[in-house]
Amino acid sequence: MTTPSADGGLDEQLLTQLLEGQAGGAEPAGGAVLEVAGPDGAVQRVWPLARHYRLEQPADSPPTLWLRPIVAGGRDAAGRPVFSLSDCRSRGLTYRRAHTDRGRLVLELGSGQTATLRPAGPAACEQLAAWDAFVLARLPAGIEAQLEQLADDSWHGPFA
Amino acid sequence: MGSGSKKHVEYFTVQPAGGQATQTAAADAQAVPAAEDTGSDTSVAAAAEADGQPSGAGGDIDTAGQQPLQAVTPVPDELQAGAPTGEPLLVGGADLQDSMATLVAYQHPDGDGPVEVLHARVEEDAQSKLLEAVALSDEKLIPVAVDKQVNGRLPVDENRQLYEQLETVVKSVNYHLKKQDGIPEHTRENFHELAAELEELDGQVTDAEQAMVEDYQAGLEQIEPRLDPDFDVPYQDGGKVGWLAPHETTSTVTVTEHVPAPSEEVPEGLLPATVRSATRLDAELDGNVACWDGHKRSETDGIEYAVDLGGGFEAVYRPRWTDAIDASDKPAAGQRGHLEVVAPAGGGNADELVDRLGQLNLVNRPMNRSEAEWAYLKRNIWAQQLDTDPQVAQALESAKALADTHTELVFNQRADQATQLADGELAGFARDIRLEAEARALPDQVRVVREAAAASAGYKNGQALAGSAGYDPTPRRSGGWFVFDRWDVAGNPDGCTDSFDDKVLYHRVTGNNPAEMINNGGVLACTERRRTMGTAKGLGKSESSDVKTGGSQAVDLRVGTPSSHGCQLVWDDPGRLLRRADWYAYPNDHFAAAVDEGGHTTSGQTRNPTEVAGWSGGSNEVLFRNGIDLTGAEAPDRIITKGSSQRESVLGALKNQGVTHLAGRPIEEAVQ
Repeated sequence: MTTPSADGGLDEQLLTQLLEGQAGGAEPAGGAVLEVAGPDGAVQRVWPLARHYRLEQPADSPPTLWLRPIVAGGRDAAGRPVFSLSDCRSRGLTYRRAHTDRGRLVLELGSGQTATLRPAGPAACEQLAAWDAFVLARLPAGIEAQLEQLADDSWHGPFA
Repeated sequence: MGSGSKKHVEYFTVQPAGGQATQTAAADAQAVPAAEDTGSDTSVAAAAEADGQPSGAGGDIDTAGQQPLQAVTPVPDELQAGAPTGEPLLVGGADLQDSMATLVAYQHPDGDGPVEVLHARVEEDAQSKLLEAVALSDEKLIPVAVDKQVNGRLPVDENRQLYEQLETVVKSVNYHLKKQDGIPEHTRENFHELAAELEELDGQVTDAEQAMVEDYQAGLEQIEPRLDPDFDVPYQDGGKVGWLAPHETTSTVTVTEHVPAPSEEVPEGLLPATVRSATRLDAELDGNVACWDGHKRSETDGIEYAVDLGGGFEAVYRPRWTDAIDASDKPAAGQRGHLEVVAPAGGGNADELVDRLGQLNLVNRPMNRSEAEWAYLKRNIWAQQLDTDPQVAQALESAKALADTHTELVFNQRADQATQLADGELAGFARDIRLEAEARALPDQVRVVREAAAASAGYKNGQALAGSAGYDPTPRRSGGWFVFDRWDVAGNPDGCTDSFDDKVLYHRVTGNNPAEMINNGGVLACTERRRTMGTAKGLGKSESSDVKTGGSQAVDLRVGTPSSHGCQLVWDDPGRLLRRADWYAYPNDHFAAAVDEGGHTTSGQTRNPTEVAGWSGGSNEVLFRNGIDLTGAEAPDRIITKGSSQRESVLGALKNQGVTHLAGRPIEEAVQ
């Protein structure tokens, strides 16, 4: 069922639930993917999403939702997950309207595309588990905090 | 060839790789000296002024090939080993994207002397020439047994999943410390189960295994105080459990490796080449030094061709898409056309790396001034979108036909030579004719296209355009690459800046990023550049959307009012960057798409500065190819830091690099 919000705004409670998945429980698990479809409705790309967001709502221009799509990383020599933070840099979705649709969050983008945030499937959950292990067990707290700011147009230094 | 300087006068000559220069100028050309030192002034503008012509005017072109044509950028005498950005070079002809190559001397990690590499991107039109030079065969691998030192975890660790247990505990403890919701019971149980298992092994195992047990026990000791409900060290200030690496040992084992089988018989005149899974040159940054051993590569999407050039030289080419390549074999868009020519370890190969391009049927000498104007015109036509004008499109088609006409002319002049050649020499003969014809056609091509571009842009004729204020085919060095200006903005940069009112161009960075950039070449470089510099790594075979769409060849800035968020590089004067002829822009985040694939659309792309000036905030993108020099003429007007310690680290990095001013302001004022 499609539920437009009264002002075409974004349901942040649903957004948080989607990104955290079952992370509200005992351990981080599940999560969300971002699906971008063209004006013809054909899905163009799907990315798992890191568990943070930032909403920019300037008075004089449309709102922008900043997210961090996760690009599949690799394994280091010891077989542990590692990601390129250059590849996983923050991205902005400037949208005209937002609505919910059967537990999904749908953004109508200025480009004519549609961005849908929905619960992650098994393959995406696997990537998210690897990302969580990388962030929580490997990254220094300072870098983790920088990632959460979602203010990086590029990434330099460790794990670039 | 040696490593001597090539600060020589260029003629319309083609130099067969590894051999004597062949006189290939017009049939009536006189014998010309092979080289002449012209001193240090090698710019196009200086050369134009020297012969009394406005820079870029048609009068500087010698269609008979009898006047000396100065190299715009000579091949450097030597390359600075380990310099991340390398040394850019403009190469003659139109075979390479922006006619540009970059020579990088990687420091060998074992100190075996530098490994010198030429990086370039082959233009779509030139790929067929390259492919005609090689005999492709699928890579056949044969097994060989080799003794190898390997790092790895011990079998007892892997069998019992000891490290995985430790990592699970760390992950959970950090997660709950951050949430400040208490360590759950199951995490405590996992902790104690692992502690018991390690206790069981303690003293009962080999020395190597005992070291592992103690390593992991030390890890648990770090975690233990954090299980205490009264643990109150903030997560950001030491509360988070740091990285506990898996315990690894080094041992020598005999392993079976698969190495390429010797090439099968290759037709005479062609180069042996194998088709293999595509790779990336896996450079590393050690401090501020770019390192590579000449061999280490990581995997990436698609296929590539590994070409044996002989003498220890190798070329690796990632093909642009053709019908002959299966869709599943296509390299990522950001890598298509990328060519590496790799020299054997040891310095002094800069000259020969350029020379070896000739083996691949590519022009193999530095660019001369009329070629610079050709590159300038093409770049401006793209930037100003003049190719949508039918007369310009027609002129570009005519220019292609001119090359064919010259090929016929040259062949007719030299047909008698062909009869004296052996079969194996014919391929080289045909290659020489084509390269010579392209060189001879170029002045005519420049004239035809300049006339059309002038008419399209509203000038009376090509001469009027060439004499206008913004017309200057002199490439500018910016960081580790060259840029051309676009004449519509360069002729009136203040007008461009004024149209932005109080809006700026900015790029957001985090943490110590600005200091890292300044230390590692002083550039804001694109992903592809940073990978060759060793300052960014690609991981696994799944490329980022930037690489898939070609956006990885550019850096993105945003137009608007700088946000209050974090550290930023700010250009208050957008005209200083938008005069470049290599930018494109989108009103929304298109993940830097440069090609219409990879799940992104190029619709909405603009190269019009007035349109860009109308944007405000959001996720708009203004993309600059290769990157931006942060300490030279394109330096930001301001670097906004987040706090005094970050400001001090940026100032310290600038001072270490000998930088006292940014965009004309003392760094103490510019770094805020």
